[in-house]
Amino acid sequence: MKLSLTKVVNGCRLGKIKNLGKTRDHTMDIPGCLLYTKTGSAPHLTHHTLRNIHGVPAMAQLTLSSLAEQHEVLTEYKEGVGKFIGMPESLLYCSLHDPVSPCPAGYVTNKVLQKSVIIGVIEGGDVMEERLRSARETAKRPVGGFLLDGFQGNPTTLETRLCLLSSVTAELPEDKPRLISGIGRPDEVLKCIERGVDLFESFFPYQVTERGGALTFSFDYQLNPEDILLQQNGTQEEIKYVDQIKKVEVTGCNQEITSFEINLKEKMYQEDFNPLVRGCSCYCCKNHTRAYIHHLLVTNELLAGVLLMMHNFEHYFGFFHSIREALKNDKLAQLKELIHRQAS
Amino acid sequence: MENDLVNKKSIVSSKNLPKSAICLDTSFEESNIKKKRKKNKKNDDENISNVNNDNYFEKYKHEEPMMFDFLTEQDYNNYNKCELFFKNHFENIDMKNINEVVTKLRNEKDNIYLSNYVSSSSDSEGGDVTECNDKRSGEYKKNLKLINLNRSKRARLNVIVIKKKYISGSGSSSSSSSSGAHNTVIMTPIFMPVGTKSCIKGLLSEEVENLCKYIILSNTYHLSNIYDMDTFKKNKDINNFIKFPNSVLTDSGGFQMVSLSKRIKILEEGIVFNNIYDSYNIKKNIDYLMGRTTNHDMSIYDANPVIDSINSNVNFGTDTISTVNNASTTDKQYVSMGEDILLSPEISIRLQNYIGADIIMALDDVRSALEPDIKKIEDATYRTNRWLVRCIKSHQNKNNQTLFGIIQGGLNINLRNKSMDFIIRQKLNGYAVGGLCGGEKKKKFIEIIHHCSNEKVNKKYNYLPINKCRYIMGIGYIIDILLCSIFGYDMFDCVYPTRTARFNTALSFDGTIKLKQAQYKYDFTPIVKHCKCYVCMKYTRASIHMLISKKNPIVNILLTIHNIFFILHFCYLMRVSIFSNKIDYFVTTVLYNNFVIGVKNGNYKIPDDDKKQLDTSYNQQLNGHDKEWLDEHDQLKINEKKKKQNYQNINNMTEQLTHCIENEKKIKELKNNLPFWLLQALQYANIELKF
Repeated sequence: MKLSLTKVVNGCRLGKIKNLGKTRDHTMDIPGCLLYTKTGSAPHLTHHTLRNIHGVPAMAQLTLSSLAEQHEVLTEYKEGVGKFIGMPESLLYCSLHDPVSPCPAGYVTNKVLQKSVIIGVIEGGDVMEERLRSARETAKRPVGGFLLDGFQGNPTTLETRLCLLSSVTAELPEDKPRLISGIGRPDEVLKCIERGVDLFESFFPYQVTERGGALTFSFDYQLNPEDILLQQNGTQEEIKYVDQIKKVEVTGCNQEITSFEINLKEKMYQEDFNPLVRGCSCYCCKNHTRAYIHHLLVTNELLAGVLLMMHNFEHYFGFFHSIREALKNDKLAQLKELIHRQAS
Repeated sequence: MENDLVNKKSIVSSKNLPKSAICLDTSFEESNIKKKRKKNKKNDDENISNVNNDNYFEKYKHEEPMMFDFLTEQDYNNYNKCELFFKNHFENIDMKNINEVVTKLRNEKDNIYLSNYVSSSSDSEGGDVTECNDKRSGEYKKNLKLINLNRSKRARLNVIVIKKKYISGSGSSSSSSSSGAHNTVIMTPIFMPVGTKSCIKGLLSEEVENLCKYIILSNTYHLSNIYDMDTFKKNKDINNFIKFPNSVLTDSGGFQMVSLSKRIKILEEGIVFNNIYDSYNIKKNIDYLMGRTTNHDMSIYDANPVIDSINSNVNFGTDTISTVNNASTTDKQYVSMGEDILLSPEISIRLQNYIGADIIMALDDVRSALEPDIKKIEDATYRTNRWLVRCIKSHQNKNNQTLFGIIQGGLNINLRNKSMDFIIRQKLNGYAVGGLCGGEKKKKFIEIIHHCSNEKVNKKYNYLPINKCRYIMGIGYIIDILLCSIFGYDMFDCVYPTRTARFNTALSFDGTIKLKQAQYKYDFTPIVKHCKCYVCMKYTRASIHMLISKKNPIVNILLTIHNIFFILHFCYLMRVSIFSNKIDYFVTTVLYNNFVIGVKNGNYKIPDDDKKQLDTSYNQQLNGHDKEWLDEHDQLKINEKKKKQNYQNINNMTEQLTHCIENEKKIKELKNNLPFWLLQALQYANIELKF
């Protein structure tokens, strides 16, 4: 695994991770994200369907907590987890816990990436000294990269955590990739990128899907503000509505609806024959309308999850692509401004 | 770490899983392992040397289902050639000229496919009320035509040609291979997967298109509650709406009388549904279609549920009976919740005209197969007849949609005859047998399906015509599909394969596989060996089991794909067998796989096992032909012994012989396992069990 940075702007790192995988011929662009999977399979999506999504990351994230129970099975199988879950050609990153389900703090001790590169974990909670010590100690060891763990949590303490983050990344060697866990909201992603983080997880679109939402935030920093309003098409109204209903009962995760998405379970979409996002190139937006997704959600059809997941993944991956483009063209400020405006 | 691995492995073997552990859920197993891990740490070294999983696997060693070896490559090729032949000749013709093409092909000397040709639908008769063939120009005016092809015993291989409605190229992404074709060429017997609400649950339209090359089914009642009819109008019809290039059939909503039986009332006018949906759409649709702005105040029905039939003075051919009985409410408790919606034959047909499927069904008065009151079934049968007349009258798109009539009559042969006598005289292009598969005894079920297609014995109008489509509604189990096919039916539908997939159950040749069971945790074989479906190629039983235990919603989709693929492939194998005149072998193999291997493996449970029920008074209760079967068993035994003695010395024949004896043994075993109703069915269908 080799990281080559092409550009660093205000702490934001643009580059490529090369020589990845068993055959050492995969590359990943950074800043980027991993493909979130539930026990090796992207939620709702078959490998076939996954191929319909544009910009799927080369590396998929597996969660150790889910694989641990299958430990004996995998040992028995002998041919590796990749083949077992039907994606032998994909890169796998094995993380310790599922970002969607809450986990106890201090649970992390050690981490093994199947047969390959070991990523060191930086811990230390909210204590600056501990964090720095962890960073220095981990940096001394022969790790391929760093995982910044434990930075998720209450938005009110975000600023302190960001402070911590900057100090930690400052301690880390430049030439190794840094992964962060538990960060998914677009605004937070951008803030972390500014503090030198390279890789993220993509659990956020999954959470949105599970609560019947579709990501609609705009990340096209080249559009002028009026066009953005047009493109968003209803997102503004949505923000108002979010204020009214603070919490929505959702299966699995009790997350609040963010301003980056629309809740398609709402009756107002019953006769909305627009695509989820105008101009979106995903399978769902090309073929179906908001009204159709609304109907699928209301009638509890499995297809709702499939279509939403396809859109949300593609949208999210597109967002990361946009970040890289903006970095390349020195337009990150515009993008940041745009995202910031949409974060309520 | 490595020690740990080995340790766990040894636990598995040392555990020697008792049989009772099979069904325990994994979490329990987990905790068990944890407990044992502590114990095992002490005698670590001993265990490592004994790592041996043989025991474990032996416990769960399954007998593999038999392959369909009797079908040679030649058989497959011949059938495929035949299918291709019909595709090539009928896919791109104008439906108008189909009779011409058929005649031309028949006259071609080297044409082997139409030599068994009996006659095709509407050769001699009209269809619906209008004439199918314009006598002067010879044009065929309907959108569906059935061509008889082959028979193997009573099983039939037919071709159904249906005019395509799909406008290819309108969708940007889907450029299917079938684009540009004018007709869908369907080979029967065929199973029709069900997409109740216009989509097969969980599948993208591409996946549906790839899986279902022929025809799928949808439901009028659900569709008209969910969609505005404008949706279909804007998209021309359902085929274009869901971007499905092949054929679609819509059921009339009659079946919902059974599935929603607690929420309906039956009037002569139609069915009153206490709607399970928000009634906004369906009310709008009905108003729109019937061109009226009525108030939907259904209270008149509530207040006065006994209303006179509006059609009591109309003559219904032979069946003008005085039992135009006043509205009968179902005897089950009527749960009142939603709004009442009237679904009359006229409304059902008009809705289906708008939905625009290729085949539409008449509204029928379906009663549960377990209905004990014969009077009620009689009423329902005659009502179905009267409703059919109204359906035919209100059908407004006769050239582009084929109306199928539905035979009712419960489990009573007499009533079935009366129903057939009336409905077949309406000269429709296809007939369905309804009201079966509602929990009736298999014996009864066999009698009815045997009777309704018994063209050799019954008099005219008392069996479904040979040259028309025969459709049995609600058939989905593999064995039922097999049985109906050997009685000469063409089309089947059921939610079973897709629904069972959502309960983590996969279909296989030896019954169903409940992948949630712990026994599959270490099973690294595909769901069905040699299955060519995407899921079997990519996943193993163990990985599906893991996904189930992790509750990844993907499992539903994967198993749905497998089950649909499997059941359609099963139909394909059956067609190849019929085409190669090997239906006997096919039936034997399938039955052996289920009733012997499946039972042994615990994957198949014999329905209505009348043999077991009779076990004690076994011999006394046997009737004639059952005895015959048993005599044959004894004969076989003797034969076997004789043969053994006779050929013992001939060495070069030994191998062949042991094979023979092996087969006879298997057949004996199979016959012992088959319940009486099934033996009876085989006799009716003239099937001989052989390998």
